[in-house]
Amino acid sequence: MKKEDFKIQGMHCASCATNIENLSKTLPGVKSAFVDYAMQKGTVSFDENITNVETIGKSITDALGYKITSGKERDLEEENRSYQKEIRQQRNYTIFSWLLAIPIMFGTFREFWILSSFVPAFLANSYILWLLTTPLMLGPGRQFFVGTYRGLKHGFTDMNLLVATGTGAAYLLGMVNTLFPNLGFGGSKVAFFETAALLIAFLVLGRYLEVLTKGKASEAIKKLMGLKVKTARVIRNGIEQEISIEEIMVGDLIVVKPGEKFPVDGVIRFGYSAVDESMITGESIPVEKKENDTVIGATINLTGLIRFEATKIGKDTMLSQIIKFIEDAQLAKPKIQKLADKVSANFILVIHILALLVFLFWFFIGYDIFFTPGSQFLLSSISLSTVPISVFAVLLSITVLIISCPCAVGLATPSAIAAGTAKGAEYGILIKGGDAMERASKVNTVVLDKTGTLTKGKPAVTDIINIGSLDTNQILQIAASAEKGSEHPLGEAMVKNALEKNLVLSPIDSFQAIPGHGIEALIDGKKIYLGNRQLMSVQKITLNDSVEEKMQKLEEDGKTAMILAINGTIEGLIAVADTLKENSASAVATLQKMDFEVLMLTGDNRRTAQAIAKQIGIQNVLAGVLPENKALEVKKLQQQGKVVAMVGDGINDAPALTQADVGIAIGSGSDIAKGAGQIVLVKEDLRDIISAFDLSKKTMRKIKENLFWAFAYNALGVPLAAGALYPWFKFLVSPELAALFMALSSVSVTLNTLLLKRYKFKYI
Amino acid sequence: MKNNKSKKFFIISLILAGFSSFLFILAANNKNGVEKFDIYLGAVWVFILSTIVALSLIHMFKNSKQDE
Repeated sequence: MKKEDFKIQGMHCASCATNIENLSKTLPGVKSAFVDYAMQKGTVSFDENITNVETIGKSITDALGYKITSGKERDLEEENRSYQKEIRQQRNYTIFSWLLAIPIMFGTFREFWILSSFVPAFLANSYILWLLTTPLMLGPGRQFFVGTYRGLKHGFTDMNLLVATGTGAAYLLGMVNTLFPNLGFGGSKVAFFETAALLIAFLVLGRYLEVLTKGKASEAIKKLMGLKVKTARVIRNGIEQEISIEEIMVGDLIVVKPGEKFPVDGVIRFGYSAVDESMITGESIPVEKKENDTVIGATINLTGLIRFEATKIGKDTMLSQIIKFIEDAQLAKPKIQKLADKVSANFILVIHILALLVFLFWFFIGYDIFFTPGSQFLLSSISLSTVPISVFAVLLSITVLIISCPCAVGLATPSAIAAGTAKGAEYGILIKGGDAMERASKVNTVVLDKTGTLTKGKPAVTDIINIGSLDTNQILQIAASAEKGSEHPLGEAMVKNALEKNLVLSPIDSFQAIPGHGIEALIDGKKIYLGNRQLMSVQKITLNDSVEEKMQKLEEDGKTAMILAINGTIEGLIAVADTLKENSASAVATLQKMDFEVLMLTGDNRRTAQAIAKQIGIQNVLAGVLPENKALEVKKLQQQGKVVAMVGDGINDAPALTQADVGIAIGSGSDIAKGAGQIVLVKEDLRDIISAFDLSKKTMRKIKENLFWAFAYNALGVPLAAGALYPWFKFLVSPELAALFMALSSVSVTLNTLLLKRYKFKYI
Repeated sequence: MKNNKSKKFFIISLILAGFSSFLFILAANNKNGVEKFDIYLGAVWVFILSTIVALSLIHMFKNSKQDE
């Protein structure tokens, strides 16, 4: 199975997205398909032996008319060109529509108010109105009919159908009344051309506004893509040469002058400089970088000349990963959107049934009982005293079709998710989509991994205690030699300390890490065990009271005591202590203030864990938890009905991050942890957890507000359009007013979403 | 094959819509104060909406069967 993205041009409502999804699923070899209307893109999973994304795209284009381009290589300039073209087309349509619709409206309403004083009489002639309306129907209005035809050909219904039936019926009625005024449909005085013209004009205006706002939703990605550098100066065979970024290979030595951007990710091999990483991390203060420090592609070298070695290129760079992350995020649908999609997919069918019922009701019952001559449509020239029963019922039916387009429902969720994830990304908080946001907004319990999350994860050796015949340097030399092959931070601290003391490390014959316990190594034929009590207990090495007492004292101080045993005899203790991250304590305090239950999870023993917890202010500690049991502890909390967020950084946290309702990975941690987390914090600042929760809550609130307004428009509009208030108030909503109402619902939802752009992070 | 199926569904929808219009004409003929033109216009409108409803229902039914 292969998964690929594709870009879609020409979608006009949420139903279009549903139709593409439905059609894709029927194509041979396609397993699943997701389409995001707001982002104008989709993802399809397919069997590459049967089909490919080009074939799928061609089938969609042939069947439904949408232009599909493979998302493999996104061409920003091409995307921008086609987006600008779409804007221009809809803008021209809007101008053209209104240039015709206004004279049509004046001509139709000529007898009202003071219009007759400046509107020429010929404009009221129904043939002239017909002449003006026809180019409107064939020009800007054609898109609705073409869309309807393509949809119906494959059995799909979308908003085009609602518009086409409404405007088509009004136009045909106008034609009949003009050509055959005595047929009884109201005569030439009631031409209905203004209904068709204003409907098209309002709908095209709505579509233009939608195209403008849809572009804003994908602005963040475009902004990020725009950060990419096009060329780089590489030293090859001792010669400095300028090459395109695609030609850079891992291991290349790249020169970056002050003021230039780093083209790819890498490690500094020469030079010292301050680097502006704000575009990636949101951190406004430049970061000092020296030899062996890592640099991120697209960040700016501010002060010194740097030569760095490329370590990640192409799609592996952090910038590409962030872009991919956001793109995937915007495609992941939250439950609330799945519900909205289902509703809007069936909505069009329901509305057509409703329109039929409205027609039948007013035709057979309503007209006879409630009709009062003299009452009027709002915003229409039609005088109800001159309209026959069939026309009256058809007009109400058309109004219901026009007012109920679920465009706003379709925009409500994806636009807010796009705005929320983009806002987060701007400040180094990467949220994997609506689903993660939805769950993050419900979290009430936060489990924090200790090492690397609350602490810097780079502990240092604090105490070396000899128990047997070896002196402290010998103990450290053996321990560091054994730990040389380990990637564990405790081991690294010992190696670092030994090297600082100029101790020469011995070669090891064998090495094995025992997760959660320690290590086992063979040096010069001696069996070395270095680890915690559990390791000694498994190896049946007994700790006497003196050793136990010394260990307890170290642990009471929050230090991790490691026991070194050589050939089954305990030779010494090495204490290592980790230091807290700068903002750990304040982040925990704020989380507690916000009524989150905060727990610390660690593989360390209870005493060490309690000592650290005390410094941070955490009361609930889950200590001595082996890596494989971390997920189990999270599960236990979930079984108690808690919605758990797990914050971690290491490979061993990955299962717990996956088990948690929301996994939050620290950006400096392992790639596996980042893959397992639904939220990634690019910076090391734990206060970003609070911002992530807050932003998720705000985005979810925005979605709910949007859905409320979108459904409220329909809930209010449909009964009004169906004439529910007519028996009492004697007024009806005209089809053109319905079109305005519908366009306003999409615009108000989009404007409400755009307010998220003004969101301020609590600590930034 | 697929086109044949679509055509078949379309024809079924047209038959159902035709039947709905026929029922409408029957009912409208028995209603007082209804002009011939009202019946014509009503029948056409009922036919259009019924075709759309029938077509959507058939495809919805087909899709739900596919999902199963």
